[in-house]
Amino acid sequence: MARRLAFTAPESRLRLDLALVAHIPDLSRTRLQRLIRAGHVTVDGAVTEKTGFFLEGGEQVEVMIPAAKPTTLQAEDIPLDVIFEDEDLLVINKSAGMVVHPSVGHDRGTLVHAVLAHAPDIQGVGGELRPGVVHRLDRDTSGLIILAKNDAAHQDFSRQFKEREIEKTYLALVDGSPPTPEGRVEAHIGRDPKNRKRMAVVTEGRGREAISSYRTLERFPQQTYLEVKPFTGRTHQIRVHLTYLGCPISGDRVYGRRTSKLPLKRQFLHASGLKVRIPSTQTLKQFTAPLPADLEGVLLLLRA
Amino acid sequence: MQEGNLSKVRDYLTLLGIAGAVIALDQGAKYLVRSNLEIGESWSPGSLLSPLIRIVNWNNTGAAFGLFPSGGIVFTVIAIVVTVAILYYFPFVPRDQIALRFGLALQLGGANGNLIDRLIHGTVTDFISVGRFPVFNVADASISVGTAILVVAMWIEERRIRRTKESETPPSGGEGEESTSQLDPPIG
Repeated sequence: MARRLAFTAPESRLRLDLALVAHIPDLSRTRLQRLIRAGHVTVDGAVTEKTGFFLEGGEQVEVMIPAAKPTTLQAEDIPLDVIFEDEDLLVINKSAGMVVHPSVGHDRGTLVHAVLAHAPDIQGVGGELRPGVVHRLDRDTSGLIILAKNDAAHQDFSRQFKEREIEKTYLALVDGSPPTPEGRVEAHIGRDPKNRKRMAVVTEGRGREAISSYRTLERFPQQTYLEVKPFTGRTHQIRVHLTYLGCPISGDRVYGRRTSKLPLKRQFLHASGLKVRIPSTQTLKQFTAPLPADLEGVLLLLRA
Repeated sequence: MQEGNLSKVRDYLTLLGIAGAVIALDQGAKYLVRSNLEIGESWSPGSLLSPLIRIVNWNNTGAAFGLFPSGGIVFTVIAIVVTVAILYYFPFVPRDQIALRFGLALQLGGANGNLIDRLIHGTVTDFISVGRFPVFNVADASISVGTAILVVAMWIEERRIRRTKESETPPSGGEGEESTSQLDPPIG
């Protein structure tokens, strides 16, 4: 329920955000600052977006507090490529361009929205906003992703991922070539100190341990086609590690070269294999997802 | 006789000094690589250099730059032969041929840098990766640079000798069958 609050500024010089803090005790200063910057606050009728604005005294301050967003997700009828399903898990071949779960800036059209339509019982498993999610893929990475359909399976898979019992295989095309035909990288990954929106290899004391191994499948004049197996699952791990090695993923606009001569609309990264223990049978099962058409097309172009 | 021996000692000091520096650098770097990186593991010295130079712990059984991988014992033998040859012939290289002496010293250092690996570990550790070039090490680079210096020095020397010979030949028009008949004055 949206709220509207109005008050008169006190008779002494006071910062706008602090004035709001004094009058709206149930919201944090950060939250109030965000409201100011988003234009929800007016001073004498005029929208003021500066948190450091000084009130001299006597002004009419009005605040519009928007209603809290609903926490339940709505199912959306988005097509899904289901590779495997049983009562405990769902293995999906995610297409590129789809975010796995809602987050800042993406609150609709995510994978979990689609899964809710397919398996409504998944709602609430392991959390309200990320039902069934036990691991993630980047938006522009295609391939296998596993979701747990009940709390017991959710715990089981979370544990398997944490204990590094799951074998993940990716296919990647990189610009240039790695130092050796096969090899590995053990380099800590953490937030890029120069750019908070990216991850980067950081010194050993910081960030978290990340290990990836790779093997060359095919060599082209200016690119190399690799099979990559990450042993850990850090955010953007493969992209960061390959860039660190000097052979960034082709088409990766964040970690790679700015222009690519190839007709790639997204980074050439595909989760092609996943080996996991199924709760119901307690056996290891290997799932595979072949390269999607857009990536296969690029390979055909290179092989010509 | 004293003079001869003293100069020989100085020769060897120079030779072994340079070769020794190469070996120390090579083995030192290899030791660092082996103790910090697992086989196949790469390390990047900095994002600016990244596509150009990377360090990786890689084993090669062949000659320099990983060529002829099944060579095995042959390369050990070659290294020993090269070492003996250079040690024997070095004092005979004229003192003023600095480039030649330097080139030989580099080759000696390089050959032994890798020989040590083969004798102790059975395989050679390569660790410098530049672009798509096969992974190599300091010893390989030393042998290559040494050979290049030798080749260039000998080529320059060859040209110098040829020019000296040319400046000593009598001008054309004199005796000798090489005189061109075109220069004979026309009759009449």
